Amino acid sequence: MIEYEKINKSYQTGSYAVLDFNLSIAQGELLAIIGPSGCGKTTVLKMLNRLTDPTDGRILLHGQDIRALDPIALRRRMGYVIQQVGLFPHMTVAENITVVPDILGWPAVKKHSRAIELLELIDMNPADFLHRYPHQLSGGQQQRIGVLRALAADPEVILMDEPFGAVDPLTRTKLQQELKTLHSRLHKTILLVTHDIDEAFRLADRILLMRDGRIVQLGTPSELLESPVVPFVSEYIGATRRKACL
Amino acid sequence: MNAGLIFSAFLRHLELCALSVGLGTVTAVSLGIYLYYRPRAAAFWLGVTGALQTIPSLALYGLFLPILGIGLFPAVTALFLYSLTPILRATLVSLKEVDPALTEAARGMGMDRWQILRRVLLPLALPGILSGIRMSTMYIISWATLAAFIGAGGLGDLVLGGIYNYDIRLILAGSLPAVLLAFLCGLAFDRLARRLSIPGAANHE
Repeated sequence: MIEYEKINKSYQTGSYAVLDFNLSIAQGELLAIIGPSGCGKTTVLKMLNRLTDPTDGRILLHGQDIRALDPIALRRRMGYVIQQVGLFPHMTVAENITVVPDILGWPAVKKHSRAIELLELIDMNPADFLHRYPHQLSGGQQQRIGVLRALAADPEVILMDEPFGAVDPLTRTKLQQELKTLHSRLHKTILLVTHDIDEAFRLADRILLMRDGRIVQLGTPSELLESPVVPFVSEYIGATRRKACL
Repeated sequence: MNAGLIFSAFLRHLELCALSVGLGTVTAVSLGIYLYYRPRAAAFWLGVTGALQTIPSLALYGLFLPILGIGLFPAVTALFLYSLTPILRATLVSLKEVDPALTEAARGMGMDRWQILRRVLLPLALPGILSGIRMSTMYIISWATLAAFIGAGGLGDLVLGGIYNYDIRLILAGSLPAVLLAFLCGLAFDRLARRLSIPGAANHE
């Protein structure tokens, strides 16, 4: 259970990234955050693992203010996937996947079996991939390893910032399908920031549409489609086209 | 000419270079890491070490003479100062060149500062740092011959003797081993760099 309460994030220049932001996310929910560039969606994500802190308000994780928690320990409880993938080029696939278990001090045997287990979860043959380096993988494979890395220490929450932005459309569809399967199997709480509106509609339990640091609408995909609160919602999600497709 | 004499001069030369480059590496790499986190101070210190570099080495020996006297110690001190700049520059540049997405990912996964440095920044910067140390070593091997002027010994002794006595063989006996030393060190560094490179990465820095 995650709650954002009266969050503002402003800068010394007087500009703000997020304004008057309230949100609660249920355990096991997949929430997609969409909106135009610079709308504050990545800031919302980064406030949760304290890569940045809000100016006002508080964020509760299971009722506990995350400001009271050690940011390092907090981050280790949350998976983090970024668009540039960020696999470490000097580490093998196995080492990349088990980075967090490693800093948590898991024994080698446990790390190894975890890496195997995760690769098998998405049908990548461990014997083939464990000892490869990131540059010996395709873009899609790299993204997959990036997701597995976020899952490795079995975190309760996974933060994804444009996780499939850098791959071709075909691979992206496949990765989205895999994520959907993973989510229904593992019941993790997932926050997914994306530019790809189709992706949001395909995967999310609820979609949060933001503009200029504020929430425009929060609702299930069909709610956004059927009862947009302002015309901008329909425009942004391309409601006409989307309804025609149904 | 005495082969034993050449060999002991060679050893002394090696000692001068190893001591100064060794100390220089420890100092410059530490300073480089420190300055990586303090970009404002970085410009200042790069200026300072860069200025040191421009003092002619013979003049530096001369300046040290009244304070540090003659022998191994002042020679190593001067050579040490000369070794700093290339290593410091290489360390700073290589650390800065590490893709910010990687440090961001590391931070987001819950690595602390030290873990990011040790597990991400340093391993990725290592090939660059190594090339800085290689460059310093090449300079120092050649400059160390001048240390003979302040009684530090080494292959410079033979070269100086050769110049005073118009003895070309003595000059060659001093300079050829220095060339050989530089060549071998270069090979060793290249080998090390190859071993450290990421397997299969075509042109990874």
